[in-house]
Amino acid sequence: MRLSMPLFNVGTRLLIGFWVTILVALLCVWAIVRVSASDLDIAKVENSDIERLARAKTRIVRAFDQNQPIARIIRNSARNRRFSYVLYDNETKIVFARRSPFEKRLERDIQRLSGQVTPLQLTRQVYRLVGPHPINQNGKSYLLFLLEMVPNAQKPFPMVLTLLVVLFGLSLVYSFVFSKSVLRPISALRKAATELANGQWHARVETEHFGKDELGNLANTFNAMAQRIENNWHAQQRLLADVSHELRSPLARLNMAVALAEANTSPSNEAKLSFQRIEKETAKMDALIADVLALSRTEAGMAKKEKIALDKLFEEVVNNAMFEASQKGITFHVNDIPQVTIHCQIDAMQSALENVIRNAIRYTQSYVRVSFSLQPAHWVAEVHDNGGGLSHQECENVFKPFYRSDNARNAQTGGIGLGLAITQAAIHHHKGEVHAKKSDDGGLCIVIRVPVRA
Amino acid sequence: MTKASILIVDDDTELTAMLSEYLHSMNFNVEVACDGEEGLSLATSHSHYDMILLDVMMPKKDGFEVLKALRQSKVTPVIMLTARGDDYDRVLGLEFGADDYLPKPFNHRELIARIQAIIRRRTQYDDKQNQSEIDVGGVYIKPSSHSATYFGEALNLTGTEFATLKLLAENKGELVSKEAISEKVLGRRLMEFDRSIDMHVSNIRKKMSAIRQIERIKTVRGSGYILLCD
Repeated sequence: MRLSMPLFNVGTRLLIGFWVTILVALLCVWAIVRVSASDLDIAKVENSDIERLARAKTRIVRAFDQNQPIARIIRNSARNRRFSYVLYDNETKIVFARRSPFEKRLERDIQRLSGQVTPLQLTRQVYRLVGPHPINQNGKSYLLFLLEMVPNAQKPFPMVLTLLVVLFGLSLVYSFVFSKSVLRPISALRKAATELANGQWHARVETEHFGKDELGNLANTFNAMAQRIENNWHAQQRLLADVSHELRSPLARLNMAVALAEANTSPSNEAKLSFQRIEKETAKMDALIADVLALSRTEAGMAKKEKIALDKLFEEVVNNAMFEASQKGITFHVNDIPQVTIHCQIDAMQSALENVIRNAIRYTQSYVRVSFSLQPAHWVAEVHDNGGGLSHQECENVFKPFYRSDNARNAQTGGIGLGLAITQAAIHHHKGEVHAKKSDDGGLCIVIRVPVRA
Repeated sequence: MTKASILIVDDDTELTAMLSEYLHSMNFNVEVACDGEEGLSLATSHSHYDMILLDVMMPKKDGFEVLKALRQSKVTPVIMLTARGDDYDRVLGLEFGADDYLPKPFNHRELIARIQAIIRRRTQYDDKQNQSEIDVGGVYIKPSSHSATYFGEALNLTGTEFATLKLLAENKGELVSKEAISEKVLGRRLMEFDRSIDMHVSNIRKKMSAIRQIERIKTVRGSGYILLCD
């Protein structure tokens, strides 16, 4: 039996595996049946044995008369003679026999013969049994058997055991080698798939560990798929960069044209106002492009996920927010960020929180509070402000792209309405949730809740 | 004062035409290169440029490659013209030794302000009164030659990095806020979510620790930096 056949494909290996298993099982059954049944042989007794039985009966009756206990009679018989006695109590069904390794089998054989009227001879590899012969003594009835041990008999039981152990060992080795040969490629595939799902687009299965079997084909197909995804990702990145570049170039020229117009002519005051208006609108257009690109990038959600401590992730966002708040004379509170390591797309997560905080700073009256906390399986960030807040209806809509509340529209704060949409895209991509509600501090509260194992 | 010379490297010819016209009107000498290779060969073969405006997305050689190659031999001040919203681009540019960056589409007043800040900084060192050498904890700054050494080994700093280190050295042992660095070195107010100062300081740190592994510049979280003098 060959244990490892790398050249065979998985189907053949499975077929051979099942086949060998069934063959081995049949072999085992056959061996056991043969060993246990073959040595049993029942025949008529010979005359010499009948005489022996009669002699034995005479001795036993004599011993009974001398009030010897049964155990002693049996023991004495085993000591000197070729044949030892076995007595079967008809009432209690107890077998009295010399000690031997085959007591159980002997008992069964005695039971089998006990119903016979005339004596029979039962032969096994290890002993010969002759009987029964009735003895009635003191109102009790016994059956007498003679037991002849076969000297130096082969012990069949250990032989069967050895065979079983060998077969068991071989099948274990085979199963191990077989399952390993199937499982190793599968675990390699799984590892590559996990990496790919994490945004490591270069992840591939190393095909040299694979044979030319079905799993090898699967690995090749997988690699082709991964290559395709990687290409798509690069294409998308390129497209975003190109779009960004192509949309901005005209804006840059527009700006320059305005500058030239301003520098080369001496514009009237009205013209100057128009120039300023153009500048303002180009700036707005530019911000819009930036946000649309950020949103589509976040929604595509294809950046690589990395492990990072929560405090390290948001340290800079919080520092920047502190700075921005101080520039605007707004009080900014933040509690200690809990110690936990999370798995996330760093840029997306940072801009998610940054957008929320910037919004709060933009719309608050005097005060912004950020509080981080840790739940059993989630981390939570709440951003409170004491600005005008939003109605219940607005709270539901505020995450929609280009949605701006009436407050925001009137306040001329210059937002475009994509910041929170970007936040939501990033948070949803990490299987988290984000919602807006009324803050205890009077204004709006945005709650971000994300699983630690996103 | 002679006119400052500016090299513009950008493949958008319409933009460069208007830009050079505008800079001319603002009293600068302007030369234009239309792709990375041409820009690099001009920048490395001539040394009269006071400033290079370098676009990132260009055919043949992109802005980063040009910058990397240029920094092998020259410390000419470079302002990268990047696409806004791409933080990665900005950080990368500063890491490769750009002095500042300006996101496209830029406002012309801002462009002039930044160009002038860097050129002014340059001419400050030529000013004879400002030439006293500084020696702090192994850092030796020689304004006259625009060079700095650290434990005797030359620190190959860009203009912005040099000016930042000089400012820290002048205020040794004291906190220098990011706002102050931004205003004095880059000639502009610190904008929120602006990491350029941190990038410049981190570049200086990298170059210093390549010579000796001592934490010389200490970060004060959220506010600024201190140059420790032992």
